[in-house]
Amino acid sequence: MTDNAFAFSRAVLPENGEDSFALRKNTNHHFMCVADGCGGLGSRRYPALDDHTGAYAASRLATHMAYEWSASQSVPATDEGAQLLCRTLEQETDRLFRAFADGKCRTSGVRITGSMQRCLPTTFCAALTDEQRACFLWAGDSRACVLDANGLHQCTTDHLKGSSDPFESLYRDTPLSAYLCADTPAKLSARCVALSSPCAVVLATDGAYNALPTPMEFEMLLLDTLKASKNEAGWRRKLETAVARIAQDDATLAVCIFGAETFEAFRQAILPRRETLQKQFITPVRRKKGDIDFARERWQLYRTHYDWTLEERHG
Amino acid sequence: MESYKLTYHVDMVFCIDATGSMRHVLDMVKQNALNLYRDIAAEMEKKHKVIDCMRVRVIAFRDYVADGEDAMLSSDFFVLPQQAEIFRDCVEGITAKGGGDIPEDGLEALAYAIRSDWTHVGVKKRHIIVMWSDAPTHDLGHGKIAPWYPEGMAKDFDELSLWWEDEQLGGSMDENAKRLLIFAPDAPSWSRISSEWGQVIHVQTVSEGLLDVEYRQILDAVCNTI
Repeated sequence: MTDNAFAFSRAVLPENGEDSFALRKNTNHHFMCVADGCGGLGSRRYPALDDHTGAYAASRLATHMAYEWSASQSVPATDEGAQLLCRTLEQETDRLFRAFADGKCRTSGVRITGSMQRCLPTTFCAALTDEQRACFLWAGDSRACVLDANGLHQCTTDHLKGSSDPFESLYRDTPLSAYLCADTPAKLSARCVALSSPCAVVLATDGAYNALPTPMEFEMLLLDTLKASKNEAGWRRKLETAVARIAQDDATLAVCIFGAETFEAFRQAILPRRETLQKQFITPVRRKKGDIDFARERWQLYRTHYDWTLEERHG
Repeated sequence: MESYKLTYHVDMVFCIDATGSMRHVLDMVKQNALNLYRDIAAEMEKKHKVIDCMRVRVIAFRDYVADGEDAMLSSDFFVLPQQAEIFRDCVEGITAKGGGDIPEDGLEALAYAIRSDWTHVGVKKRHIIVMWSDAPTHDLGHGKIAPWYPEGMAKDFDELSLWWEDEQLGGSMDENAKRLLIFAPDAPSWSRISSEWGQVIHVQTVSEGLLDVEYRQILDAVCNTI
Protein backbone atom coordinates (compact mmCIF):
# COMPACT_ATOMS: atom_id res chain seq x y z
CA MET A 1 0.00 0.00 0.00
CA THR A 2 1.32 3.48 -0.90
CA ASP A 3 0.06 6.52 1.02
CA ASN A 4 -2.93 7.22 -1.21
CA ALA A 5 -3.36 3.83 -2.84
CA PHE A 6 -4.53 0.43 -1.75
CA ALA A 7 -5.55 -2.90 -3.18
CA PHE A 8 -6.90 -6.23 -2.05
CA SER A 9 -7.78 -9.64 -3.45
CA ARG A 10 -10.46 -11.92 -2.16
CA ALA A 11 -10.38 -15.58 -3.26
CA VAL A 12 -13.23 -18.09 -3.20
CA LEU A 13 -10.67 -20.77 -2.32
CA PRO A 14 -7.94 -18.82 -0.52
CA GLU A 15 -5.16 -21.32 -1.27
CA ASN A 16 -6.01 -21.31 -4.98
CA GLY A 17 -6.92 -17.67 -5.68
CA GLU A 18 -6.32 -16.84 -9.33
CA ASP A 19 -6.32 -13.03 -9.00
CA SER A 20 -3.29 -10.86 -8.31
CA PHE A 21 -2.37 -7.18 -8.04
CA ALA A 22 0.62 -4.86 -7.68
CA LEU A 23 1.03 -1.22 -6.59
CA ARG A 24 4.09 0.96 -6.92
CA LYS A 25 4.81 4.61 -6.27
CA ASN A 26 7.46 5.62 -8.75
CA THR A 27 9.33 8.92 -8.88
CA ASN A 28 6.98 10.61 -11.30
CA HIS A 29 3.90 8.43 -11.38
CA HIS A 30 1.81 5.83 -9.61
CA PHE A 31 1.56 2.34 -11.02
CA MET A 32 -1.22 -0.16 -10.29
CA CYS A 33 -2.22 -3.38 -11.98
CA VAL A 34 -4.63 -6.27 -11.48
CA ALA A 35 -4.80 -9.65 -13.19
CA ASP A 36 -7.28 -12.51 -13.20
CA GLY A 37 -5.91 -15.91 -14.21
CA CYS A 38 -8.33 -17.56 -16.64
CA GLY A 39 -9.47 -20.61 -14.68
CA GLY A 40 -11.12 -22.38 -17.61
CA LEU A 41 -8.36 -21.89 -20.16
CA GLY A 42 -5.59 -22.27 -17.62
CA SER A 43 -6.89 -25.25 -15.67
CA ARG A 44 -3.81 -27.41 -16.28
CA ARG A 45 -1.82 -28.08 -13.12
CA TYR A 46 1.98 -28.23 -13.12
CA PRO A 47 4.21 -30.25 -10.77
CA ALA A 48 6.87 -27.50 -10.86
CA LEU A 49 4.24 -25.06 -9.54
CA ASP A 50 3.27 -27.29 -6.60
CA ASP A 51 0.32 -28.50 -8.66
CA HIS A 52 -1.12 -25.02 -8.94
CA THR A 53 -2.92 -24.18 -12.17
CA GLY A 54 -1.50 -22.17 -15.03
CA ALA A 55 -4.16 -19.55 -14.27
CA TYR A 56 -2.87 -19.23 -10.70
CA ALA A 57 0.70 -18.65 -11.87
CA ALA A 58 -0.18 -16.43 -14.82
CA SER A 59 -1.86 -13.63 -12.89
CA ARG A 60 1.04 -13.48 -10.43
CA LEU A 61 3.58 -13.56 -13.23
CA ALA A 62 1.81 -10.71 -15.05
CA THR A 63 1.57 -8.41 -12.04
CA HIS A 64 5.12 -9.14 -10.91
CA MET A 65 6.46 -8.48 -14.39
CA ALA A 66 4.52 -5.24 -14.77
CA TYR A 67 5.58 -4.04 -11.32
CA GLU A 68 9.25 -4.39 -12.25
CA TRP A 69 8.73 -2.94 -15.71
CA SER A 70 6.88 0.13 -14.44
CA ALA A 71 9.87 1.47 -12.51
CA SER A 72 11.54 2.69 -15.67
CA GLN A 73 8.41 4.06 -17.35
CA SER A 74 6.49 7.32 -17.20
CA VAL A 75 2.97 8.44 -18.11
CA PRO A 76 2.98 9.02 -21.88
CA ALA A 77 2.11 12.51 -23.10
CA THR A 78 0.43 11.40 -26.32
CA ASP A 79 -1.57 8.52 -27.77
CA GLU A 80 1.49 7.61 -29.83
CA GLY A 81 3.47 7.44 -26.61
CA ALA A 82 0.80 5.16 -25.12
CA GLN A 83 1.04 2.83 -28.10
CA LEU A 84 4.81 2.72 -27.72
CA LEU A 85 4.43 1.92 -24.05
CA CYS A 86 2.03 -0.83 -25.01
CA ARG A 87 4.53 -2.40 -27.40
CA THR A 88 7.30 -2.42 -24.80
CA LEU A 89 5.07 -4.15 -22.27
CA GLU A 90 3.94 -6.67 -24.90
CA GLN A 91 7.56 -7.53 -25.64
CA GLU A 92 8.34 -7.90 -21.96
CA THR A 93 5.28 -10.12 -21.52
CA ASP A 94 6.24 -12.36 -24.43
CA ARG A 95 9.78 -12.75 -23.18
CA LEU A 96 8.88 -13.52 -19.59
CA PHE A 97 5.84 -15.74 -20.21
CA ARG A 98 7.72 -17.91 -22.70
CA ALA A 99 10.74 -18.26 -20.42
CA PHE A 100 8.49 -19.14 -17.48
CA ALA A 101 6.54 -21.66 -19.54
CA ASP A 102 9.73 -23.31 -20.77
CA GLY A 103 11.03 -23.62 -17.24
CA LYS A 104 7.95 -24.48 -15.20
CA CYS A 105 5.09 -25.63 -17.35
CA ARG A 106 6.11 -29.12 -18.34
CA THR A 107 3.69 -31.99 -17.84
CA SER A 108 3.61 -35.71 -18.38
CA GLY A 109 0.74 -38.16 -18.58
CA VAL A 110 -2.28 -37.97 -20.84
CA ARG A 111 -2.13 -35.29 -23.53
CA ILE A 112 -4.93 -32.78 -23.10
CA THR A 113 -5.20 -30.27 -25.94
CA GLY A 114 -7.77 -28.03 -27.63
CA SER A 115 -8.78 -24.42 -27.88
CA MET A 116 -9.92 -24.42 -24.24
CA GLN A 117 -6.40 -25.10 -23.01
CA ARG A 118 -3.81 -22.35 -22.93
CA CYS A 119 -0.48 -22.00 -21.16
CA LEU A 120 -0.49 -19.28 -18.48
CA PRO A 121 -3.62 -17.36 -19.54
CA THR A 122 -4.59 -14.25 -17.60
CA THR A 123 -6.41 -10.98 -18.00
CA PHE A 124 -4.43 -7.88 -17.15
CA CYS A 125 -5.17 -4.22 -16.52
CA ALA A 126 -2.62 -1.58 -15.51
CA ALA A 127 -2.69 2.17 -14.85
CA LEU A 128 0.22 4.57 -14.99
CA THR A 129 -1.04 7.80 -13.47
CA ASP A 130 0.06 11.25 -12.41
CA GLU A 131 -2.05 14.17 -11.21
CA GLN A 132 -3.19 15.09 -14.72
CA ARG A 133 -3.36 11.95 -16.80
CA ALA A 134 -3.85 8.23 -16.65
CA CYS A 135 -2.68 5.69 -19.19
CA PHE A 136 -4.39 2.31 -19.11
CA LEU A 137 -3.00 -0.88 -20.66
CA TRP A 138 -5.15 -3.99 -20.70
CA ALA A 139 -6.05 -7.37 -22.15
CA GLY A 140 -9.29 -9.15 -21.29
CA ASP A 141 -12.10 -8.02 -19.02
CA SER A 142 -10.25 -6.59 -16.04
CA ARG A 143 -11.32 -2.94 -15.98
CA ALA A 144 -10.02 0.52 -15.28
CA CYS A 145 -12.40 3.24 -14.11
CA VAL A 146 -12.14 6.80 -12.85
CA LEU A 147 -14.31 7.95 -9.95
CA ASP A 148 -14.74 11.72 -9.82
CA ALA A 149 -17.35 14.26 -8.72
CA ASN A 150 -19.49 13.33 -11.75
CA GLY A 151 -19.53 9.63 -11.01
CA LEU A 152 -17.78 6.48 -12.11
CA HIS A 153 -16.41 6.25 -15.63
CA GLN A 154 -15.22 3.07 -17.30
CA CYS A 155 -12.14 3.75 -19.42
CA THR A 156 -11.36 0.30 -20.83
CA THR A 157 -13.42 -1.77 -23.27
CA ASP A 158 -13.71 -5.40 -22.21
CA HIS A 159 -12.14 -7.77 -24.73
CA LEU A 160 -15.04 -10.16 -25.22
CA LYS A 161 -16.27 -12.22 -28.16
CA GLY A 162 -19.43 -10.36 -29.08
CA SER A 163 -20.93 -7.44 -27.19
CA SER A 164 -18.81 -5.78 -24.51
CA ASP A 165 -21.77 -3.84 -23.09
CA PRO A 166 -20.97 -3.70 -19.36
CA PHE A 167 -24.60 -4.31 -18.37
CA GLU A 168 -25.29 -7.19 -20.73
CA SER A 169 -22.03 -8.94 -19.92
CA LEU A 170 -23.20 -9.27 -16.30
CA TYR A 171 -25.76 -11.78 -17.53
CA ARG A 172 -23.66 -13.78 -19.96
CA ASP A 173 -20.53 -15.92 -19.69
CA THR A 174 -19.08 -14.36 -22.79
CA PRO A 175 -15.66 -15.81 -23.70
CA LEU A 176 -12.68 -13.47 -23.74
CA SER A 177 -11.35 -12.32 -27.09
CA ALA A 178 -7.94 -11.30 -25.70
CA TYR A 179 -5.76 -12.24 -22.76
CA LEU A 180 -2.09 -12.71 -22.00
CA CYS A 181 -0.62 -16.20 -22.33
CA ALA A 182 2.57 -18.01 -23.29
CA ASP A 183 1.15 -19.54 -26.48
CA THR A 184 0.56 -16.43 -28.57
CA PRO A 185 2.11 -12.95 -28.78
CA ALA A 186 0.69 -10.51 -26.23
CA LYS A 187 -1.80 -7.98 -27.56
CA LEU A 188 -2.62 -5.13 -25.21
CA SER A 189 -4.90 -2.17 -25.73
CA ALA A 190 -3.93 1.30 -24.53
CA ARG A 191 -5.94 4.38 -23.64
CA CYS A 192 -5.04 7.70 -22.06
CA VAL A 193 -7.53 9.94 -20.28
CA ALA A 194 -7.30 13.38 -18.70
CA LEU A 195 -8.14 13.42 -14.99
CA SER A 196 -10.18 16.07 -13.23
CA SER A 197 -9.16 16.60 -9.61
CA PRO A 198 -9.91 15.15 -7.26
CA CYS A 199 -10.55 11.63 -8.42
CA ALA A 200 -9.70 8.00 -7.80
CA VAL A 201 -8.46 5.52 -10.38
CA VAL A 202 -10.06 2.14 -9.76
CA LEU A 203 -8.95 -1.17 -11.27
CA ALA A 204 -11.15 -4.23 -10.86
CA THR A 205 -11.23 -7.86 -11.92
CA ASP A 206 -14.56 -9.26 -13.04
CA GLY A 207 -15.21 -10.94 -9.69
CA ALA A 208 -15.54 -7.48 -8.13
CA TYR A 209 -17.87 -5.81 -10.62
CA ASN A 210 -19.74 -8.93 -11.81
CA ALA A 211 -21.08 -9.61 -8.33
CA LEU A 212 -23.48 -6.70 -8.56
CA PRO A 213 -26.70 -6.62 -10.59
CA THR A 214 -25.93 -3.40 -12.48
CA PRO A 215 -22.87 -1.21 -13.16
CA MET A 216 -24.67 1.52 -11.14
CA GLU A 217 -24.50 -0.68 -8.06
CA PHE A 218 -20.74 -0.94 -8.42
CA GLU A 219 -20.45 2.84 -8.19
CA MET A 220 -22.83 2.78 -5.22
CA LEU A 221 -20.63 0.22 -3.50
CA LEU A 222 -17.63 2.53 -3.89
CA LEU A 223 -19.57 5.56 -2.62
CA ASP A 224 -21.30 3.79 0.27
CA THR A 225 -18.02 2.49 1.60
CA LEU A 226 -16.33 5.86 1.01
CA LYS A 227 -19.08 7.59 2.97
CA ALA A 228 -18.53 5.29 5.92
CA SER A 229 -14.73 5.74 5.96
CA LYS A 230 -12.44 8.19 7.73
CA ASN A 231 -9.25 7.38 5.88
CA GLU A 232 -7.81 5.24 3.06
CA ALA A 233 -7.26 2.29 5.35
CA GLY A 234 -10.89 2.42 6.47
CA TRP A 235 -12.12 2.63 2.88
CA ARG A 236 -10.01 -0.36 1.98
CA ARG A 237 -11.36 -2.40 4.90
CA LYS A 238 -14.96 -1.51 4.17
CA LEU A 239 -14.61 -2.21 0.48
CA GLU A 240 -12.98 -5.54 1.15
CA THR A 241 -15.72 -6.53 3.58
CA ALA A 242 -18.43 -5.49 1.13
CA VAL A 243 -16.81 -7.32 -1.79
CA ALA A 244 -16.27 -10.45 0.31
CA ARG A 245 -19.96 -10.44 1.17
CA ILE A 246 -21.17 -10.36 -2.43
CA ALA A 247 -18.43 -11.84 -4.63
CA GLN A 248 -19.05 -15.26 -6.16
CA ASP A 249 -15.65 -15.40 -7.82
CA ASP A 250 -12.12 -14.27 -6.99
CA ALA A 251 -12.26 -10.48 -6.79
CA THR A 252 -9.59 -7.79 -6.79
CA LEU A 253 -9.77 -4.02 -6.48
CA ALA A 254 -6.95 -1.48 -6.66
CA VAL A 255 -7.62 2.18 -5.88
CA CYS A 256 -5.45 5.29 -6.03
CA ILE A 257 -6.60 8.80 -5.06
CA PHE A 258 -5.36 11.88 -6.91
CA GLY A 259 -5.75 15.64 -6.62
CA ALA A 260 -6.84 15.89 -2.97
CA GLU A 261 -4.73 17.19 -0.11
CA THR A 262 -6.44 14.90 2.37
CA PHE A 263 -8.76 11.92 2.35
CA GLU A 264 -11.46 14.11 3.85
CA ALA A 265 -11.09 16.61 0.99
CA PHE A 266 -11.51 13.74 -1.45
CA ARG A 267 -14.63 12.53 0.38
CA GLN A 268 -16.14 16.00 0.43
CA ALA A 269 -15.58 16.42 -3.28
CA ILE A 270 -16.92 13.01 -4.34
CA LEU A 271 -19.77 12.22 -1.94
CA PRO A 272 -22.36 14.73 -3.23
CA ARG A 273 -22.59 12.46 -6.27
CA ARG A 274 -23.97 9.68 -4.06
CA GLU A 275 -27.35 11.39 -3.61
CA THR A 276 -27.84 11.85 -7.36
CA LEU A 277 -26.83 8.28 -8.04
CA GLN A 278 -29.21 6.96 -5.43
CA LYS A 279 -32.17 9.00 -6.61
CA GLN A 280 -31.75 8.46 -10.33
CA PHE A 281 -30.35 4.98 -10.65
CA ILE A 282 -30.28 2.94 -7.44
CA THR A 283 -33.61 3.39 -5.68
CA PRO A 284 -35.79 3.17 -8.82
CA VAL A 285 -34.11 -0.04 -9.96
CA ARG A 286 -34.14 -1.62 -6.50
CA ARG A 287 -37.85 -0.81 -6.18
CA LYS A 288 -38.50 -2.77 -9.35
CA LYS A 289 -36.33 -5.64 -8.19
CA GLY A 290 -36.14 -8.36 -10.81
CA ASP A 291 -37.35 -6.14 -13.65
CA ILE A 292 -34.34 -6.48 -15.88
CA ASP A 293 -35.88 -4.44 -18.69
CA PHE A 294 -36.34 -1.47 -16.38
CA ALA A 295 -32.78 -1.86 -15.10
CA ARG A 296 -31.58 -1.95 -18.71
CA GLU A 297 -33.46 1.28 -19.47
CA ARG A 298 -31.81 3.07 -16.53
CA TRP A 299 -28.47 1.65 -17.56
CA GLN A 300 -28.79 3.31 -20.96
CA LEU A 301 -29.25 6.66 -19.21
CA TYR A 302 -26.43 6.02 -16.76
CA ARG A 303 -24.15 4.89 -19.52
CA THR A 304 -23.94 8.33 -21.13
CA HIS A 305 -21.84 9.50 -18.18
CA TYR A 306 -20.31 6.17 -17.25
CA ASP A 307 -18.85 5.01 -20.52
CA TRP A 308 -15.69 6.91 -21.38
CA THR A 309 -14.87 4.33 -24.00
CA LEU A 310 -17.52 5.85 -26.28
CA GLU A 311 -15.85 9.23 -26.57
CA GLU A 312 -12.48 10.79 -27.13
CA ARG A 313 -10.90 11.87 -23.86
CA HIS A 314 -7.30 12.42 -24.62
CA GLY A 315 -4.96 12.75 -21.73
CA MET B 1 -29.17 -5.92 -3.51
CA GLU B 2 -29.71 -9.17 -5.38
CA SER B 3 -28.70 -10.09 -8.88
CA TYR B 4 -31.39 -11.08 -11.34
CA LYS B 5 -31.65 -14.85 -11.14
CA LEU B 6 -28.13 -15.84 -12.04
CA THR B 7 -28.77 -19.56 -12.00
CA TYR B 8 -27.46 -21.94 -14.62
CA HIS B 9 -29.31 -24.24 -16.97
CA VAL B 10 -26.97 -27.08 -17.91
CA ASP B 11 -27.56 -29.44 -20.84
CA MET B 12 -25.16 -32.29 -21.57
CA VAL B 13 -25.12 -34.71 -24.49
CA PHE B 14 -23.04 -37.85 -24.07
CA CYS B 15 -21.88 -39.46 -27.32
CA ILE B 16 -20.61 -42.97 -26.69
CA ASP B 17 -18.87 -45.18 -29.23
CA ALA B 18 -20.63 -48.52 -28.80
CA THR B 19 -18.69 -50.60 -31.32
CA GLY B 20 -16.96 -53.90 -30.58
CA SER B 21 -13.52 -52.38 -30.05
CA MET B 22 -14.90 -50.44 -27.07
CA ARG B 23 -15.73 -53.71 -25.28
CA HIS B 24 -12.74 -53.54 -22.91
CA VAL B 25 -13.35 -49.90 -21.91
CA LEU B 26 -17.10 -49.47 -22.24
CA ASP B 27 -17.83 -50.20 -18.59
CA MET B 28 -15.32 -47.51 -17.58
CA VAL B 29 -16.81 -45.02 -20.07
CA LYS B 30 -20.33 -45.72 -18.81
CA GLN B 31 -19.21 -45.20 -15.24
CA ASN B 32 -17.47 -41.96 -16.25
CA ALA B 33 -20.66 -40.78 -17.96
CA LEU B 34 -22.72 -41.54 -14.87
CA ASN B 35 -20.21 -39.74 -12.62
CA LEU B 36 -19.49 -36.78 -14.88
CA TYR B 37 -22.80 -34.97 -14.56
CA ARG B 38 -22.62 -35.21 -10.78
CA ASP B 39 -19.01 -34.01 -10.74
CA ILE B 40 -19.78 -31.06 -13.01
CA ALA B 41 -22.75 -30.12 -10.85
CA ALA B 42 -20.59 -30.34 -7.71
CA GLU B 43 -17.78 -28.32 -9.29
CA MET B 44 -20.16 -25.56 -10.42
CA GLU B 45 -21.74 -25.49 -6.98
CA LYS B 46 -18.27 -25.16 -5.44
CA LYS B 47 -17.79 -22.08 -7.61
CA HIS B 48 -21.15 -20.65 -6.49
CA LYS B 49 -22.73 -21.36 -9.89
CA VAL B 50 -26.17 -22.54 -8.88
CA ILE B 51 -27.74 -25.05 -11.27
CA ASP B 52 -31.46 -24.53 -11.69
CA CYS B 53 -31.98 -27.30 -14.22
CA MET B 54 -29.74 -30.08 -15.52
CA ARG B 55 -30.60 -32.36 -18.44
CA VAL B 56 -28.62 -35.16 -20.07
CA ARG B 57 -29.10 -36.89 -23.40
CA VAL B 58 -27.33 -40.05 -24.61
CA ILE B 59 -26.25 -40.93 -28.15
CA ALA B 60 -24.70 -44.36 -28.80
CA PHE B 61 -23.07 -44.61 -32.21
CA ARG B 62 -21.49 -47.22 -34.41
CA ASP B 63 -21.13 -47.48 -38.22
CA TYR B 64 -23.99 -46.88 -40.68
CA VAL B 65 -22.58 -49.29 -43.25
CA ALA B 66 -21.85 -52.13 -40.83
CA ASP B 67 -24.55 -51.82 -38.20
CA GLY B 68 -27.83 -50.97 -39.90
CA GLU B 69 -30.49 -49.44 -37.71
CA ASP B 70 -28.30 -49.87 -34.63
CA ALA B 71 -25.77 -47.40 -36.03
CA MET B 72 -27.18 -44.38 -34.19
CA LEU B 73 -29.30 -44.69 -31.06
CA SER B 74 -30.31 -41.58 -29.19
CA SER B 75 -32.45 -40.66 -26.23
CA ASP B 76 -34.38 -37.52 -25.39
CA PHE B 77 -33.03 -35.30 -22.64
CA PHE B 78 -33.42 -36.72 -19.15
CA VAL B 79 -34.09 -34.15 -16.43
CA LEU B 80 -31.80 -34.79 -13.48
CA PRO B 81 -32.02 -35.77 -10.72
CA GLN B 82 -35.72 -36.57 -11.29
CA GLN B 83 -35.01 -39.02 -14.13
CA ALA B 84 -31.67 -40.27 -12.87
CA GLU B 85 -32.80 -43.88 -12.76
CA ILE B 86 -34.00 -43.88 -16.39
CA PHE B 87 -30.77 -42.16 -17.42
CA ARG B 88 -28.76 -44.82 -15.59
CA ASP B 89 -30.73 -47.61 -17.25
CA CYS B 90 -30.19 -45.99 -20.63
CA VAL B 91 -26.41 -45.80 -20.16
CA GLU B 92 -26.18 -49.27 -18.62
CA GLY B 93 -28.11 -50.67 -21.57
CA ILE B 94 -25.44 -49.71 -24.10
CA THR B 95 -23.54 -52.76 -25.36
CA ALA B 96 -20.36 -52.93 -27.40
CA LYS B 97 -20.89 -54.65 -30.74
CA GLY B 98 -20.38 -54.26 -34.47
CA GLY B 99 -18.48 -51.37 -36.00
CA GLY B 100 -17.05 -53.06 -39.09
CA ASP B 101 -13.80 -51.37 -40.09
CA ILE B 102 -11.65 -49.34 -37.68
CA PRO B 103 -13.08 -45.81 -38.18
CA GLU B 104 -16.60 -45.16 -36.87
CA ASP B 105 -19.33 -42.60 -37.56
CA GLY B 106 -18.36 -40.30 -34.70
CA LEU B 107 -18.84 -37.16 -36.78
CA GLU B 108 -22.47 -38.05 -37.49
CA ALA B 109 -22.96 -38.56 -33.75
CA LEU B 110 -21.41 -35.17 -33.14
CA ALA B 111 -23.77 -33.64 -35.70
CA TYR B 112 -26.75 -35.15 -33.90
CA ALA B 113 -25.42 -33.81 -30.62
CA ILE B 114 -24.91 -30.29 -31.98
CA ARG B 115 -28.49 -30.27 -33.26
CA SER B 116 -29.96 -31.33 -29.93
CA ASP B 117 -32.90 -29.41 -28.54
CA TRP B 118 -30.68 -27.29 -26.30
CA THR B 119 -32.24 -25.25 -23.55
CA HIS B 120 -32.48 -21.53 -24.16
CA VAL B 121 -34.16 -20.93 -20.83
CA GLY B 122 -32.36 -18.98 -18.12
CA VAL B 123 -29.78 -16.25 -18.19
CA LYS B 124 -26.63 -18.36 -17.90
CA LYS B 125 -26.19 -21.74 -19.52
CA ARG B 126 -23.83 -24.57 -20.30
CA HIS B 127 -24.31 -26.65 -23.45
CA ILE B 128 -21.82 -29.48 -23.11
CA ILE B 129 -21.12 -32.32 -25.55
CA VAL B 130 -18.94 -35.17 -24.31
CA MET B 131 -17.59 -37.66 -26.85
CA TRP B 132 -15.99 -41.01 -26.00
CA SER B 133 -14.43 -43.06 -28.81
CA ASP B 134 -11.38 -45.27 -29.23
CA ALA B 135 -11.37 -44.87 -33.02
CA PRO B 136 -10.81 -42.34 -35.79
CA THR B 137 -13.87 -41.27 -37.76
CA HIS B 138 -15.08 -41.91 -41.25
CA ASP B 139 -15.50 -38.84 -43.41
CA LEU B 140 -19.00 -37.46 -43.13
CA GLY B 141 -21.22 -39.16 -45.68
CA HIS B 142 -19.24 -42.41 -45.73
CA GLY B 143 -22.39 -44.25 -44.67
CA LYS B 144 -24.65 -42.60 -47.25
CA ILE B 145 -25.02 -45.85 -49.12
CA ALA B 146 -26.94 -47.24 -46.16
CA PRO B 147 -30.71 -46.71 -46.45
CA TRP B 148 -30.92 -45.62 -42.81
CA TYR B 149 -28.39 -42.81 -43.25
CA PRO B 150 -30.15 -39.63 -42.10
CA GLU B 151 -31.44 -36.90 -44.37
CA GLY B 152 -30.13 -33.41 -43.75
CA MET B 153 -26.80 -34.52 -42.30
CA ALA B 154 -23.88 -32.09 -42.63
CA LYS B 155 -22.39 -32.93 -46.00
CA ASP B 156 -18.76 -32.57 -45.00
CA PHE B 157 -16.42 -31.47 -42.22
CA ASP B 158 -16.63 -27.81 -43.23
CA GLU B 159 -20.41 -27.78 -42.90
CA LEU B 160 -20.21 -29.54 -39.54
CA SER B 161 -17.68 -26.89 -38.47
CA LEU B 162 -20.24 -24.20 -39.34
CA TRP B 163 -22.86 -26.02 -37.29
CA TRP B 164 -20.50 -25.86 -34.33
CA GLU B 165 -19.15 -22.39 -34.83
CA ASP B 166 -22.20 -20.43 -35.86
CA GLU B 167 -25.61 -20.53 -34.24
CA GLN B 168 -27.07 -18.95 -37.38
CA LEU B 169 -25.57 -21.50 -39.76
CA GLY B 170 -27.14 -24.74 -38.67
CA GLY B 171 -26.30 -25.14 -35.02
CA SER B 172 -28.49 -24.31 -32.07
CA MET B 173 -25.90 -24.15 -29.32
CA ASP B 174 -25.41 -20.94 -27.38
CA GLU B 175 -22.04 -19.57 -28.42
CA ASN B 176 -21.10 -18.54 -24.91
CA ALA B 177 -22.37 -21.71 -23.27
CA LYS B 178 -21.08 -24.43 -25.55
CA ARG B 179 -18.23 -26.76 -24.65
CA LEU B 180 -17.00 -29.89 -26.45
CA LEU B 181 -15.10 -32.45 -24.43
CA ILE B 182 -13.55 -35.25 -26.49
CA PHE B 183 -12.04 -38.43 -25.08
CA ALA B 184 -10.54 -39.97 -28.21
CA PRO B 185 -7.17 -40.81 -29.76
CA ASP B 186 -4.95 -38.38 -31.63
CA ALA B 187 -6.65 -39.31 -34.92
CA PRO B 188 -7.22 -36.97 -37.89
CA SER B 189 -10.81 -35.76 -37.36
CA TRP B 190 -10.54 -35.48 -33.59
CA SER B 191 -7.26 -33.60 -33.79
CA ARG B 192 -8.61 -31.30 -36.48
CA ILE B 193 -11.60 -30.46 -34.30
CA SER B 194 -9.29 -29.94 -31.36
CA SER B 195 -7.11 -27.49 -33.24
CA GLU B 196 -9.71 -25.69 -35.39
CA TRP B 197 -12.92 -25.46 -33.37
CA GLY B 198 -13.44 -23.06 -30.50
CA GLN B 199 -14.23 -24.15 -26.94
CA VAL B 200 -12.91 -27.69 -27.27
CA ILE B 201 -10.91 -29.79 -24.87
CA HIS B 202 -9.42 -33.02 -26.24
CA VAL B 203 -8.22 -35.74 -23.91
CA GLN B 204 -6.17 -37.93 -26.21
CA THR B 205 -7.22 -41.27 -24.81
CA VAL B 206 -10.35 -43.16 -23.99
CA SER B 207 -8.70 -46.26 -22.56
CA GLU B 208 -6.35 -44.87 -19.93
CA GLY B 209 -7.68 -43.77 -16.57
CA LEU B 210 -7.10 -40.11 -15.82
CA LEU B 211 -5.11 -38.95 -12.84
CA ASP B 212 -7.06 -36.93 -10.32
CA VAL B 213 -5.15 -33.81 -11.33
CA GLU B 214 -6.11 -34.34 -14.99
CA TYR B 215 -9.75 -34.91 -14.14
CA ARG B 216 -9.80 -31.67 -12.11
CA GLN B 217 -8.24 -29.87 -15.08
CA ILE B 218 -11.09 -31.04 -17.30
CA LEU B 219 -13.80 -30.13 -14.80
CA ASP B 220 -12.30 -26.66 -14.35
CA ALA B 221 -12.15 -26.13 -18.11
CA VAL B 222 -15.79 -27.13 -18.58
CA CYS B 223 -17.22 -25.30 -15.59
CA ASN B 224 -15.28 -22.05 -15.56
CA THR B 225 -15.81 -19.04 -17.72
CA ILE B 226 -13.26 -18.88 -20.54
